[in-house]
Amino acid sequence: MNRLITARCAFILIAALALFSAAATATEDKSARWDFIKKHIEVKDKRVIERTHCQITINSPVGDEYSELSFYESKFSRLKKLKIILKDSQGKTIGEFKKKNLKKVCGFGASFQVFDDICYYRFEPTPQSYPFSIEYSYERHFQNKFFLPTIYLPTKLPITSVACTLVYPAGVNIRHKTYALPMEAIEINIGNKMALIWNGSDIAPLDFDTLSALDYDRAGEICLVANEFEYIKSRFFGASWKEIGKWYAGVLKTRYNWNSIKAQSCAPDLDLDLLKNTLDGVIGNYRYVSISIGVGGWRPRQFDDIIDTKYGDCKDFSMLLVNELRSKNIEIYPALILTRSSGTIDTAFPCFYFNHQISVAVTSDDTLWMDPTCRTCPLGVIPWQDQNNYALIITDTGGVLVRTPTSIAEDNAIVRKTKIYVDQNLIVHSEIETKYTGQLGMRWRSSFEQMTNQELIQFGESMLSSKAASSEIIDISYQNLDKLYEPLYLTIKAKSIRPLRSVRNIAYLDPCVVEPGIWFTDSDYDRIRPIKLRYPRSVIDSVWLAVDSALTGAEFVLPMADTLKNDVGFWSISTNLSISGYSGQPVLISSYALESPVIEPKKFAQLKELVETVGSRDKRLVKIKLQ
Amino acid sequence: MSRPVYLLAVLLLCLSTTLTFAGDKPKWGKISEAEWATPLPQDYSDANVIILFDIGEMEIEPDGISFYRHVRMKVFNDAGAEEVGDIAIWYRDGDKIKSLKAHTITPNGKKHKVEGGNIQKQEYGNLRTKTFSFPHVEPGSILEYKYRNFNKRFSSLDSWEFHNQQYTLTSQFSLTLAPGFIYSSAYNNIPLPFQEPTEEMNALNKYKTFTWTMTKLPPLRDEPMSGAIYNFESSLKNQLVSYTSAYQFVAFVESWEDLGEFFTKQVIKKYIRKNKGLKDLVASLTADAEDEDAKALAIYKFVRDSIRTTKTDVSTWFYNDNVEKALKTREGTEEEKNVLLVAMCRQAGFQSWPVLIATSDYGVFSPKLYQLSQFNHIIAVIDFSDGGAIVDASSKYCPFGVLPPTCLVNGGFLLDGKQSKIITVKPVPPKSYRLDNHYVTIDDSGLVHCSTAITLSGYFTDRYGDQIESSEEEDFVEDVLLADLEAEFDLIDYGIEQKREEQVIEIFATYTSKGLVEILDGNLFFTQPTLVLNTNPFVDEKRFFPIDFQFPCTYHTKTSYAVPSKYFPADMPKDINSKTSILNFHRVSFVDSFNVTVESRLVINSALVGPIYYEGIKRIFEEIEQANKEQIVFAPVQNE
Repeated sequence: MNRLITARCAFILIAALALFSAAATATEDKSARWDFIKKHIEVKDKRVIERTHCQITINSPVGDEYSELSFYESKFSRLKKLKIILKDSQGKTIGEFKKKNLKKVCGFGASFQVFDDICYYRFEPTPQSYPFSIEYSYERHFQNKFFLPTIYLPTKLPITSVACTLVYPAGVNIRHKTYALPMEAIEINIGNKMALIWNGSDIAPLDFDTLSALDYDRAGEICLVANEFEYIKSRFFGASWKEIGKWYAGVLKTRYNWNSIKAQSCAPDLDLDLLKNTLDGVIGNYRYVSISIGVGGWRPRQFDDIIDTKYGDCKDFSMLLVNELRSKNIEIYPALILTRSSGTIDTAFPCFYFNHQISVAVTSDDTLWMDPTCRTCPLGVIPWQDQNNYALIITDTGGVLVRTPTSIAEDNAIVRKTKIYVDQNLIVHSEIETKYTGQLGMRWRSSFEQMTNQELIQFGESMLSSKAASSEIIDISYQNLDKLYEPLYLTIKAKSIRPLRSVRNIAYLDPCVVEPGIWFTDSDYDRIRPIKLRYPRSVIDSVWLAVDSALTGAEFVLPMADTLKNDVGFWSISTNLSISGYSGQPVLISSYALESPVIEPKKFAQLKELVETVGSRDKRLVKIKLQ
Repeated sequence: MSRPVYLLAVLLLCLSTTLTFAGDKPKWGKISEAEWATPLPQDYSDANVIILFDIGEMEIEPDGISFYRHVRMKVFNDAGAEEVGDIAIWYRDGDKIKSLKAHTITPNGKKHKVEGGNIQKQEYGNLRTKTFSFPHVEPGSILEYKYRNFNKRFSSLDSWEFHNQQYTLTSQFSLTLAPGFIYSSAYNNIPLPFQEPTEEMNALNKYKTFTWTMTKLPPLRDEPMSGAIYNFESSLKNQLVSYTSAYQFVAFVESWEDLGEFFTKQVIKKYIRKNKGLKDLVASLTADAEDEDAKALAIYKFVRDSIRTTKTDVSTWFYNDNVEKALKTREGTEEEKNVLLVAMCRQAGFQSWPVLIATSDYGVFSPKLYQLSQFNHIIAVIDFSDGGAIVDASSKYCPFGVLPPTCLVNGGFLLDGKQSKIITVKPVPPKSYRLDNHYVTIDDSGLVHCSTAITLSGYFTDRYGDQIESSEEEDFVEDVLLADLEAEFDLIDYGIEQKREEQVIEIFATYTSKGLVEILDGNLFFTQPTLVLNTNPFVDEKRFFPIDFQFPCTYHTKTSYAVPSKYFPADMPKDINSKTSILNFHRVSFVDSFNVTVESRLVINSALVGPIYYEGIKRIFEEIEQANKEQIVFAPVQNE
């Protein structure tokens, strides 16, 4: 599944680009600079050959990170004729290296993988006197047009010159698109071949804050996709999401039972109990293990193998669900997705840029999404990585690109009930019951599961630690950890380490013992792309207050009731002067919510207003005027 | 660090009269009732998985070494399944892994085998792994695997670490020697009662078997500020001394003198022999030197500053083949620079020798183990008419006679041919001091202006020097120096000056911040702009490994708050005075004209501290963390 993403993330391989702008001059970069980047890609019938020749100059120790190079090789993409030349400031060769001289690392894929059959050859030069240069060249042979490589530009360093060509037989269709690049390719007819050429010189590093969301994620890419190939015994022909879905359906054909559901035999409503039991069965009985060998990056394992081992990856689990539920006449499909933290799907440019598979059950007017790799996801909830995202549903007739649902703030809530007792020494004793639902419940469920008792205490202390106060945990426990369909509860008893701050006989009590805050900085607002929240959320704090009898003569000044509502969310404080204990109304209720999953730049001012209001302790402090 | 006290702690942890098994070794796949019923250990009740046993058997015969390993674990919950569900068996290129078997036994007694096709091979330079995932893992399952590693690394036997990353009920290692083999053992932090093995002899083939066993071993966990962890985990290193048969005698290891002669001849002399250009160079460097000290200093500075430090593969000591080439390329490895230094000093008429050491982040040198692989660095000894000096020209932040912090070791191996010998090193560390001076003011709009001057001296220059050189100055100030500031800030100005010979770095920064003050009812609540020790790294209740502060040092912070005269100091931090034998922390606050000054000092007396002192250290660091969180409060002067 991760072939494209793995290739993208695996190595610092870059390619040529056009001028960034007519007026741009490359800035002298103290750390490093690309002297030239040349890439030539040739499509030959079924195979693709890429020839690369580059040179980078490292100007100071600051640029050392760019001197470490890594070249990947896999079963489907062979690395050949690799040559690296290390040069001094005069251009004199001080070292030459080939593939056999480099450190070879094989089998260690992404952090979540147990095994991946890609190898990397690492070049880590010894420190040299500065400046020094590294010139390298290689060929890469791809077995299949499916692997037509995306070209990447190094976006953080200046480039003196760039030249990239793609040559392919006339009659072969190659689609291409560049991101954060103003230059279009020049197309040339060379006899019975076509060529696309990109040229550029003196290219400055990108200013990412001026990029749109899509360009930000894909900056520096020239994406190339062949419109016709056969891979994993499935033929692809076309340029649409539908065709991509059709191809993948062909890959899955031997693993999925496509014919078990007859047309129009599906029930009008989804059998939720059946779905729940099946999903819970996969989550509870199978362990997530990702092993990617050969085509295993795209195709699920054999059904019997998954059952025999009781482990698998996203594709395997999706297969289990689809197989099981289709046999019970549930209309359910696998769906390909690119998780949100890994990038953005360009809906206008269909390609194979996916890294995950989930499932969706449908009726005529409803869908129910399921991600069986999420151990803490009850039926009806998918992790934020999958939410508010594009997914390609693999139907019997091809792919359908849809948007997955998003949750609302009320779904992802922290509801906190706090009882505060202030003793005669102004030490604050608190009992806090926190209820987590939705994404917050899922997040803390998987964290608490991993924590030792000691770590849980440390977690509690960090929760109650703010700039101005720290607390010692007396007791901490959670409830409903294993009950996915119930809210998760965390109960804490704590005592402040220092007494309340007091000035001129006024003590200041922050009733929100867990400091509320929405964490954005000024630099977050300084960009043109929207802010995408992981998920909308809400927090409600209800506080009851009791004091030692020695303080009963004190005067309590509560904050003013107040509200802020704008397009991004809301905040409110309401109070009730009842300092007589824990029965009755809470003394203070503070709540806020971030309601928009996506905040457009024109709303950044409102976001900033909300952030500052929520973070303003002045608006919620209780003042105790001591006698 | 107090070794005896530390070993006592380990002994108390390990003492047990009950082994998980006794007599016959456990059989593959045969799980006893007691094993099924094994509960969570009392001293580690939130373990997710425990290792019931970890057995290693090393058999040494003339045709090779066979190492058998058999591990059995019990999983208690899903988190345990995640912890041990995937296994990687590491070995070296050239070793043969044979008879690898693994299976899961679920609570209903059913066995689920790991099929051969599901075992993958990984590669990392010269290292390899066999990796696989256990099938059918569920709470209550027992996971078991075993394998044989066959190799011919007679002169470097693998060591045995008793600890694992999970709680281990029983860890056992056996060494079986065919007749003719003689070995010696070096123990690393194994309490005395466990050092002596049980001994058996096979009457038929005369093979001798020595067995060591330890029980109830807590897991190795990452702990903050630990030294090289394998320094302190309980481990056993065996070294073959010789092999004798009717037809031959093979010595695997000689005496230290022989090892020294070998290294001097094969490595040092080969390097120094070809040294064209050395004589003239030394003559020119020392021409104006008035005395021995000046001569040595001139040579030292040349090697330190004019020969660029470079790195090579781990398997070679030097970058160049010889001195002549090094003088041409003007670069060399750290060790090479010190050997060059020795060569140049000898040329200048000094007695000088290279010394092999194990740096503190690498390991602890054991004289009982005749292995040159214990060492990873070379320093130099120079003899003067009135004494001597131990030097290391590899660090540009260390003046003559000051060794880098990783060289603060007790002993080394002086190389002098047949006269090679183990020597005491015991360098005296320089005074390492960090002084942070902050000057805080506030303007009418409530914006805080801060001016910070930091002086780093001694080993602090070594700690920060490379970071400064490998970053843009602004990035260093923002992302490293001011990283711990508890508020957003805008950097206005900054500067960095390094004075290498004096081992001093001076840094200044001025910035503004809205977040450093809170205004409530007209009162000003200042957050202290402290940049160090804001977070207590010691949060665990218990500590297994010693704490490595790297070098004795002092952190001194002085913050002055100058506010308009319409305010007076309403609440100042209380004075603190906390002391242990390892750390002193004190803090005072005072008013000076209308300014409030808060001054604190933490003195760390020892670089390496045993875990028995952990509680006191933890308490003081907690105190410092809380002290740095206290706010300085100014209230408006009230007119009568």
